[in-house]
Formats: sequence, structure tokens, C-alpha cells
Amino acid sequence: MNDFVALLLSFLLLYKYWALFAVMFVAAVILPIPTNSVLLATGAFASQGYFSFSLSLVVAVGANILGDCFDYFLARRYGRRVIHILHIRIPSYIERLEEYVKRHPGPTIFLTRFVGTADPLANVLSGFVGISFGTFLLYDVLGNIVSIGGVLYAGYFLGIHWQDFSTFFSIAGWILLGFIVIATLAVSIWYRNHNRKHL
Amino acid sequence: MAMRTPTQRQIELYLKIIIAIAAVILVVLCILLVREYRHLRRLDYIAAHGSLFSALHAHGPAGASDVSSVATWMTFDYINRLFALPPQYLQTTLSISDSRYPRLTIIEYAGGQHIERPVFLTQVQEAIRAYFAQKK
Repeated sequence: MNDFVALLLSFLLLYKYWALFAVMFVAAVILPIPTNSVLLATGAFASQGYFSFSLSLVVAVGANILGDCFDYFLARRYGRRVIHILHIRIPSYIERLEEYVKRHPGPTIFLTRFVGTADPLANVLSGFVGISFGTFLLYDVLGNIVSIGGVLYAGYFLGIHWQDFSTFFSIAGWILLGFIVIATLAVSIWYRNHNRKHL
Repeated sequence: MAMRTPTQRQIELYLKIIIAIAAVILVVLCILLVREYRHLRRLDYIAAHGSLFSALHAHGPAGASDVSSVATWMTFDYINRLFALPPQYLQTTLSISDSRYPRLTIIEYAGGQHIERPVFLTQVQEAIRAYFAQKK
């Protein structure tokens, strides 16, 4: 276990729900903090009676939603203005991403809750392209409940052995993500070929 | 059937390359997963419970066989809860004089007393093992 994760876990044990809230909020806003390790540990602590599982879920989901909304509103309010003032030219791949988010806001927001590093980017893009707050909030809440609840429960299930099993489940998680990426790309290629045949 | 433009052919080529790279990475991850599973099977508590699933379901206070899971980032009150120790046991046994006990991590106490972390961690683990030994 690296020193930074160990420091986070000490912080979590000393300040409990306040620490959980702070870590999840800051990670949602921008900082790439290893929240999966923190959530796994919190679930394990809940199985030992040191935390309440339901209160941990409410705090973690609430903090994440607040962080996501912070990014969303910041981008919605100031995004285009900052780009205009700084004369930033938006790269074409970002424009294509914007188009994609406009066409598929729900799946994009929901699925990026499961990929920590993509979460803030999706929040900023959603605000930037003007996805309605209602749509953003709906998929954000659903995605956070499922992703955070899943990891918390995994920690609860693993109990005291979470440290030994965390590597196993991390690798399994990456394998699952890999299958989803390959399946999505393969379907995309099939769909493009299928459309071309019928034109 | 519509003809593909060079850009469309290029995009499709890139997609296929990404799929191939992702497949190779997946194979490597699967090998790592199998190795990790075999490592877990060799661990004592899995052997004791007979299967990975049973070991994971063995909740309740930790026992003497779980002492190795104590880490320096843990606080004394968490360790007390984890092993169902009397609240003052570790303070008395290890002569901990810090008033912040038990809301104090092993790292903090060892640092304050200028004791090397691995040395103090071993002392904590030995104290817990001694508690279970005297309980028998």
C-alpha cells in the first residue's frame, strides 16, 4: 500500500464521515485521489462496526454529487467566457466529444461515474455544452449510487481481508472495463458497416 | 452500398487497432488475475476456511490469525474495535503515555516517540497475540 493511500486511511479513521466527505468531494471536483481504495476500506470498516454502511453511502454519494455539480455549474457559467477571454482554440477532438455528449448525455454521465479520472471531464463537458441540469443530476445520482454503492458493498463483503483482496478485485474491475470498451468499439464498427450497406 | 471515404477507412483502422491493443491488455490482465487468485489460495485464512468464498464470509471480531493485517496507518481505537480488545489494554501493555490515545495512529505514536515504525508495529502485533494467548 502506498504512503498516500495509507495517509488517506489514517485521515478516514481519525475524522470518519467528515474525512469521507472531504475526500469524495475533492476527488469529484478535480483531484485524482484513489477513492476506490477509500471506499473499499470504508465498506470494510462498516463490516466491523466502525462505520455505519448506510450513513457512509449517503455521505459518499452526497459529497460526490456536490463535487460533480460544482464542476458542472462552473463550466456552464464561466466555461465559454474563459475560452473567449483566453482566445483558446478548441481542438477538433474536443468538439467531437462535445457533440457526442450532446447526443448521448445519459449514458455518458452514468458510465463516467465508474471511471474516476473521466468523471470531472464529463462534468465539465456537460456544463460546457449546456446539458440540462435535470438530466445531468438524474444520471449523476443514479451513476453515483450504483458505482459508490458497489465499491462500498465490495469492501463490506471483504471485511478485514479487503487489503489482501483489493488487488484481485482491481484487476477484475479493469478486465470488466476492458470487455466493455472492446464490446462498444466492436458494436460501433458493426453499426457503421451495417448503415453503409443499407444506404 | 455507400463507398467509404479515406477518413472513414482511417477511423475504422484506428478502431480495429484499439480493439487489438485492448485485447492484448485484457489477456495480460487475465494472467495477472489468475496469478493473484493462486496467491490468495495459498494464504492461511483461506486454507483454514477451505475456500475463498467461506473465508470472505467469516465476519466478526478478528482473531489471532488476523494480527498480520494490523498496519501502521491504523488508529488504536480501530485496532481495539477490530480485535475486541479492552480499551486500555494496548495503552497499558505498550506504556503509551500520549493523551490522544486511542485516537492516535501507530505512525503518529512511533514518530513522536522516535521508534522505528516496523519495530513498534511488531510490538503492537505481539501485544495482540499475547492477549489471545492469555485468553485461551
